[in-house]
Amino acid sequence: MTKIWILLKIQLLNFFGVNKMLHTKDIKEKQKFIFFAISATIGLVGCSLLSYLYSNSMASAFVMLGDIGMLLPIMLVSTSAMVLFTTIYKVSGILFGYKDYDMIIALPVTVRQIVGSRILLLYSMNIVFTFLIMVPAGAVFAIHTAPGLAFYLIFILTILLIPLVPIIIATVIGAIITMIAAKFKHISFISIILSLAFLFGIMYLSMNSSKVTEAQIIDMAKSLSEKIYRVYPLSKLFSEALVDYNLNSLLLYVLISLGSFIIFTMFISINYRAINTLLTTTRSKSNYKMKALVSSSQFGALYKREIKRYFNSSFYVMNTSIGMIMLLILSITFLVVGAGPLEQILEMPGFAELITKAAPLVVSVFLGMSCTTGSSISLEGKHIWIAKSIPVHAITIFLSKIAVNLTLTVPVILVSSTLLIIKLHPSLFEIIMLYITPLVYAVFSATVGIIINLLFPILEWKSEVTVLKQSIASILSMLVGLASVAIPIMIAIFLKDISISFIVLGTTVIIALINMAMYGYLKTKGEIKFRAL
Amino acid sequence: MLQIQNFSKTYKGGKKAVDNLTLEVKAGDIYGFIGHNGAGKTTTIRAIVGAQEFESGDIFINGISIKDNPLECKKILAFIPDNPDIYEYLTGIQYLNFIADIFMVDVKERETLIKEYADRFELTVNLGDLVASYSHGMKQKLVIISALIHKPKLLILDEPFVGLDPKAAHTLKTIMREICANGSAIFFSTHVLDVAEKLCTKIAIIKAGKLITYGETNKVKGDNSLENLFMELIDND
Repeated sequence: MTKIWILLKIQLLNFFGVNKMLHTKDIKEKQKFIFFAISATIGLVGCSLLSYLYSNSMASAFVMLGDIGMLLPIMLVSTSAMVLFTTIYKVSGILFGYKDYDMIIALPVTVRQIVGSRILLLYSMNIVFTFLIMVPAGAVFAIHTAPGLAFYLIFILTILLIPLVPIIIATVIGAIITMIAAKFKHISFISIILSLAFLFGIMYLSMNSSKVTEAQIIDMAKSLSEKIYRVYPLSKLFSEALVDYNLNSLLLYVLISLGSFIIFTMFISINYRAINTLLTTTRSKSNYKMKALVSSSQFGALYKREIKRYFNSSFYVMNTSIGMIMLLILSITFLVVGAGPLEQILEMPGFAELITKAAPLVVSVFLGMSCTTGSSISLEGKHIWIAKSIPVHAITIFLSKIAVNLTLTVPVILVSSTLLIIKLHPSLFEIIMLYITPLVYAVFSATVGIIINLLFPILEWKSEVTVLKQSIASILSMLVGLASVAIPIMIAIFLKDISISFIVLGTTVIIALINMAMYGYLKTKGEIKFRAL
Repeated sequence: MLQIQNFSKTYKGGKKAVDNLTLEVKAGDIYGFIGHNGAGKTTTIRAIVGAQEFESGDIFINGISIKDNPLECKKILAFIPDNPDIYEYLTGIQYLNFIADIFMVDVKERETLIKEYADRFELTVNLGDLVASYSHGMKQKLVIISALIHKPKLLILDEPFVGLDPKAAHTLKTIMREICANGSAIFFSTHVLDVAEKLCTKIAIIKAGKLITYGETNKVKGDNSLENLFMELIDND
């Protein structure tokens, strides 16, 4: 256990650059970290508050249906689903195929200890989100039911075990995707296709199941609980343990969660070396003959390199394309079913009005989730010496990274906006804004990502996950992108006297001006910051 | 070709890595830069190629300041780092073509030079494979080829012989002599004193960030072997 902890500690020290902050003598670095820590704390408190409000509104509905006991199992299923989705893409990079594999495997530790430390790392990443959803839900439940001490004890025990089973399922799916992909020449490409197929499959199933819910309104609470238990049987045991204080269910829940986790760790340990060998073995033909070469401009060469880098990493692609995939699905569904049914599918009251009146902003919401630039400088990692020693202005390098982000977002914006236009029949002004506003936001999201990454770079990393999921830059760039759209949407919702067209136009102009200012910053201070990396 | 004038670099936290270093490398020189670990060699080299900011002094490449005009300096120099960390998602030929694009090398010329150097380093058949499949030595050869295809006037190398097999090391030494005979200059760090003694026309020894001796190899070492001289200078405080 000590060795597992030592191995885990080394990985945890890299989280959000904690170790760098602890040991740096640079006051600016410390200030930046403190700024992030305060922002993250505010963010976490905000998320907890939102989570509490969401649980509270759900609880009110369940009280009306006469079954408050449904709140916790539903939140358990939501948490488990989130753990499942966010873990699948981390499997390759954290559990398998990480860069210091050779060094770790050569240490005097057992494979089981290595696997244990790696799975515990996945657990540590997920337990934070579990607490963020489950603790507010537990508080709401406790306020409504005023339970005894036993509830709190069982609650703490059970929520600690929540991520285990979803991690196992995610690891199995992630490992299968990775192993199938490893058999092909273009590992990343196949991995992206399989991951997308899985994602689309789940989205299709969840949309279909939503329709069933709508049809079973008569006995809603009963049908809902049956459905939830069917989807995730562990939630039934969880509910019985927590709501009915059923000791047998509690024991079974603990046994299944812990037992499957231990068995799974042992199983993975047996095949660990074989899987990693499969993943780290690169094909080589060694039969190249010199052919005619094609030249490109400096920008063209940088762009081609950057796009190859992007599509070489399935984790990078899956992590940053999710926003565009969601936008595409949303606009296609909107075209097919219309605003009202879409609102029911999404279970978001007020969505129909929002998409009808503020479509350009709704389209722009998804751009923050598809910011590839927020980690693009950190992803240079040990290769940064190349970018720094070639005779190219840093702005050209930045623009090549921005261009890759726009390659991902612009086609989706054009398709989605066109689909919305077909359905909404907007005025000429609205048509123009439906294209212009998201495009301006796309440039904003890509440019702000570069600036944030310049301010919070991590160039020393062993796994891309560190940069893409655990870095200050990737999180901040997504949040800034989302906040920049959330603010005008909030204004549109709360200040109903102001015309939405005016808000959209005003926002577009402001964001365009910010874009110009950011370009100026990158050309001057950005160049200096890049050289100082 | 390369003038380092009163160059000093202090890292955040107060550690002075290089202290008031002044050195000149002329066209045709093969200049060896010797010192123990942490003496300041890599810091100096990184500053020369524009990868390291520094607070005092200046560095001129062909008369152009790296501080004031880094782009013009980078156009005429090539850098080979101590660790060949290159884009693993590109094939060898894609990497070389990328570098040729960046240095705007004519297509016909790049094809000729890539073929010439890849053949000499026996890497041509591997150029179609991903860099990820290369051994350390093969990556090192690829970086060396990429540094040569734009015909740099100044070649900066940090421990260039690490990882190279004996034949590749011999090829590199031959190429180094050739390009310096054609008017280029080479400045490189090394721990292999035998190589420095036989290859370098000039040497400089650095200790704790300060230059302790420099000049033509024969004059600096006198009748001593370079190894003995180095040990004497390093041990003598």
